[in-house]
Amino acid sequence: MIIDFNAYLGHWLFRRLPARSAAELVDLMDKVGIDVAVVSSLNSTLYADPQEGNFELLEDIKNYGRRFVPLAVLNPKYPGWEDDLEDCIGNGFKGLRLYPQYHNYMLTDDECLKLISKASDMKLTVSIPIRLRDGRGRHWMDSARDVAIQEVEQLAAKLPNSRIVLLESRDVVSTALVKYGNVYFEMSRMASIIGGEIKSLIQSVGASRVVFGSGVPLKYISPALLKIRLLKENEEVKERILWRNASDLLGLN
Amino acid sequence: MVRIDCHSHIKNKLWDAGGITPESLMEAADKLEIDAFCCSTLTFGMPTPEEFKMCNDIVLKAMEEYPGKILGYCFVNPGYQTESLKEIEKRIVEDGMIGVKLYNQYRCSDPVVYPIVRKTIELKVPILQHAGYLTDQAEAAEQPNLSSAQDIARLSFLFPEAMIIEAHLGGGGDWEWALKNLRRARNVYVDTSGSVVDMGMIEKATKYLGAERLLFGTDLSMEEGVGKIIDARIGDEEKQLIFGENMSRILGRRSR
Repeated sequence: MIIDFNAYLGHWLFRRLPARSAAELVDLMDKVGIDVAVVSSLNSTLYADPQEGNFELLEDIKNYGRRFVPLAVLNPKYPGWEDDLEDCIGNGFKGLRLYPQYHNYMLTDDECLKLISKASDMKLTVSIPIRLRDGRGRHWMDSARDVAIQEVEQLAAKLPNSRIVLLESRDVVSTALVKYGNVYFEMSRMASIIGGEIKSLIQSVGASRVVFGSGVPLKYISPALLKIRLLKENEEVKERILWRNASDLLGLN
Repeated sequence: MVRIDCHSHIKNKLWDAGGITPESLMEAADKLEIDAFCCSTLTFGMPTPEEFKMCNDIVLKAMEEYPGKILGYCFVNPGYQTESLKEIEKRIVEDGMIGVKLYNQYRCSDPVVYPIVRKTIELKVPILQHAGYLTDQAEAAEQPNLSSAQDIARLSFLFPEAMIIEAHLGGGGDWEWALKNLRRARNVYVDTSGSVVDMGMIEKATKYLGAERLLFGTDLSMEEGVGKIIDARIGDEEKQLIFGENMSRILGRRSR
């Protein structure tokens, strides 16, 4: 069983993606053995009202049963997110994914804290990608920042009851972020072989706070899969990372 | 399927290179079924002849420890022309190194580099040219003499007999921009290394350049380097070319 916690559907306006629809993503998942993808709308990165992307995503995945777990994208700076949150949860979304770098807010802004507090009250997990692309080759219209680890640290400290899954992070082991038990780490940018960052992270925070993710379809899947396959850990640890932790975080049992 | 990593490194006393030693490369080789690593080690700024010779001594030692597994690039600074040409001659002819590594001391379209290129043509060895097109201004400012695909294309048109490898398609910024620039530069190969694993990169590179101009590499992003080729939706024969056959052919051209 493999759950990919870091997956997307829709268009990425700065580059043509080889897979944009649920049908195309399922095809890719089947080729490498991914059972479930935890997806959010890429269209919602740039829609003024991200809620439109959420419902496009629901429409796209409706025929694929349990292959997809939808996460709602909300912008706490845009009016009506409280209603949108209720609508999303009522329609089967299992958590949130925030894009602060594209929606122009800081994780520590009051509105964002309010949104995450509310999500936490509803026992929802909030996932946040540090970035959606490597900044070295960014498109000239794409000025989004990488979310700073310190920003996430402040959020984790202010809202200890929240559950935050940090996507696309690396070099975290030596940061204070590892001390916060409410922060989980997706591993696709960490090395398994050279440097052994994934193993160090497990030693630092325990296997229960690491989840598998690939970044598909922005990124290839196999690099992340290889990292887990080549990890010098027992099968129980690998199972936790590959699906058990994700399942617990999203209440999929 | 032969796997030759055409872009790898080991550390030296002036550059940590993530702590990479020949031994750690061998461990990665076992796990990722990599048959050989083409390695250099280098220093930043404007390395003196003493410094680039020190780098090449380290690589030579690794080659001797792991014959056939670690192949060496000779690193030079083209600003020291006489010393660089002498060093290349020695390392390739006497020590058995397989090519020349150029970093960001000069853009490769700078005439100061031309004598180096002529030497590699004479010896029939490739140049692995550090390269990129960094659209982020802060990143670009850190490497003012970074060679872009445009520089590499210009150099290739001037020296059609040269074998030039544009380094790290997945580590040099806008890779689509690079591919567009290199399409007609037919004596330029592209190494696929780097930490960027944008889906579609290998397919587009194959479409624009042809699989016979792509070379598998890691630049120490090990799982990324192998995983992006595994996932690419191209034929097995094309993967075979990229993983090792193309580099084998390049190595086979070397003057004996």
